Amino acid sequence: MSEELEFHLQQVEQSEAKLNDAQRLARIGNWEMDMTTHKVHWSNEMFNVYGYGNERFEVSFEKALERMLPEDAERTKARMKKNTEEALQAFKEKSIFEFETAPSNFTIILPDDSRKVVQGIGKIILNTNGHVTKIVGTVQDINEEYKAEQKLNAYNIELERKNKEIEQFAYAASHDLQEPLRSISNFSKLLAEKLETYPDKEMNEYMRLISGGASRMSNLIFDLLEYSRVGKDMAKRETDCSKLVHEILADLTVVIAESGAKIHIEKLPVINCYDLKSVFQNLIINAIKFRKKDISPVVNISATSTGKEFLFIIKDNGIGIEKEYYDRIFIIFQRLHLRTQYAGTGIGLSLTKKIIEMHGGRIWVESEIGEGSTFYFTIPIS
Amino acid sequence: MRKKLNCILLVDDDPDDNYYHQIVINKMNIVNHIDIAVNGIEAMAYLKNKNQNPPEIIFLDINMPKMNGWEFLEEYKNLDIDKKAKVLIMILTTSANPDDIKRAKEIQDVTGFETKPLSPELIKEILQQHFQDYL
Repeated sequence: MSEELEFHLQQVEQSEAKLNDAQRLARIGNWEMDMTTHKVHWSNEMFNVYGYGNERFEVSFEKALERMLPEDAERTKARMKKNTEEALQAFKEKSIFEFETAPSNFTIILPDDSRKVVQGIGKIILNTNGHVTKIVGTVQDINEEYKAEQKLNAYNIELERKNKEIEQFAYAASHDLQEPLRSISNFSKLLAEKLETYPDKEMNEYMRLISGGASRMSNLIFDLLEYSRVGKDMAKRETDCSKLVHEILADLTVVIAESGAKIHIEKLPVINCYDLKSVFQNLIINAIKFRKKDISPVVNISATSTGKEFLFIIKDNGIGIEKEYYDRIFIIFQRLHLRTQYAGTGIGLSLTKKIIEMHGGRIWVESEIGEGSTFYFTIPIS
Repeated sequence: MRKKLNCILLVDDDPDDNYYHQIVINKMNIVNHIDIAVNGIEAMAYLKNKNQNPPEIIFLDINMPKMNGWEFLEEYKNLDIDKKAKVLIMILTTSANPDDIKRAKEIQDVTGFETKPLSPELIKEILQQHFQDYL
């Protein structure tokens, strides 16, 4: 043997070893069927995928079909027929000699009778006369991926069911809780009226606390109800954010006048979204509410586009938030201040976050204590 | 002296609410009597009673046992015209569920949708809008 030939043989051996390694690692076997002799060749990894290990024997298309679940074998035969027809068609119309088939999953039965899900891809090869000469393909062991996917799907279904249940629960609970609460609030109001002239002033104070408690709880339940309702039967629509913000400011006329707030609105985009009223409203109200003592709030509302998403920015000159609370403020019922300092139910920002995340967007805050806060949120462009 | 309404019908299963609403209405001294039906069936029977003049205003709750507010409104549609002529139906319920508000708007017989409790301000507003002579 010439040195050159030996060198080439060595190279072939090496690349074959590399191919075997690659097939083993990827758990992909390849096969080849000669359409004149009907002989089928399997690579080493094919035997592995089919659970034969080092066992070797003469394979055939029929034998391979026998290893499939009966319904998958039928499907494969039908696919083979259809793909061949399409390959012939492609040859006739576009003179294409190699026709690749779409991947297809099927279940094979291993010698130990266990099942395995694999994915097959094939290629039909024609000669210049338009006759099918060879069909080649790969079979990949995707059993683990398939099982993981099945599991994930099951979890998803379960999660959806649970979410729906929680939603219904929150809705029913908040509705039913309103009723007894209304009695407390109604009759304490009547009682307070009667006690107005009563000499014991402590009595009036108690009544005030009862009424206050009932009305706070009522607000809480109302907000909870709103939170549970987000996402229910909502539809996206074209929204002019500038117009929306101006409408919100009109609703807030009293609050703005009382606080002396200056609100600057830059040009905001028209976007396709769910109802963003609560989002802007909560962020604007917060920007006004958490103001520094004796300093009128200045709020700046702007937006930019990255092409992929809109970024909205609501900047204030208020009290600011310490870094360690950046995440906590978005959690339901989490408050940073006493309610006697800053009123509120602690639902606003969590509601805002829920609505933004429904769009696939994000919300975050950057702030320095005493220096004001800037809230950012994104809405992907659909 | 100003004219008084003859009758207001409260259709509600909650005794606390009925009691409270009676007190609020009575304090305003605008009506001769207030009647109560605890569900849609009782309200229908009340309205069909030949010896009974129809009320001027019905405050209708939604969530009630046996026949709820929606079912009542369904039956009410088929009531004789003269029985319905002067009746104003206000839905008065616990939560301002947007779905319910939308549904109420689509029903011709319904004049308004309010959340509980009934307040003097709300009653004044109703009188101003619909019963000018009674102020």
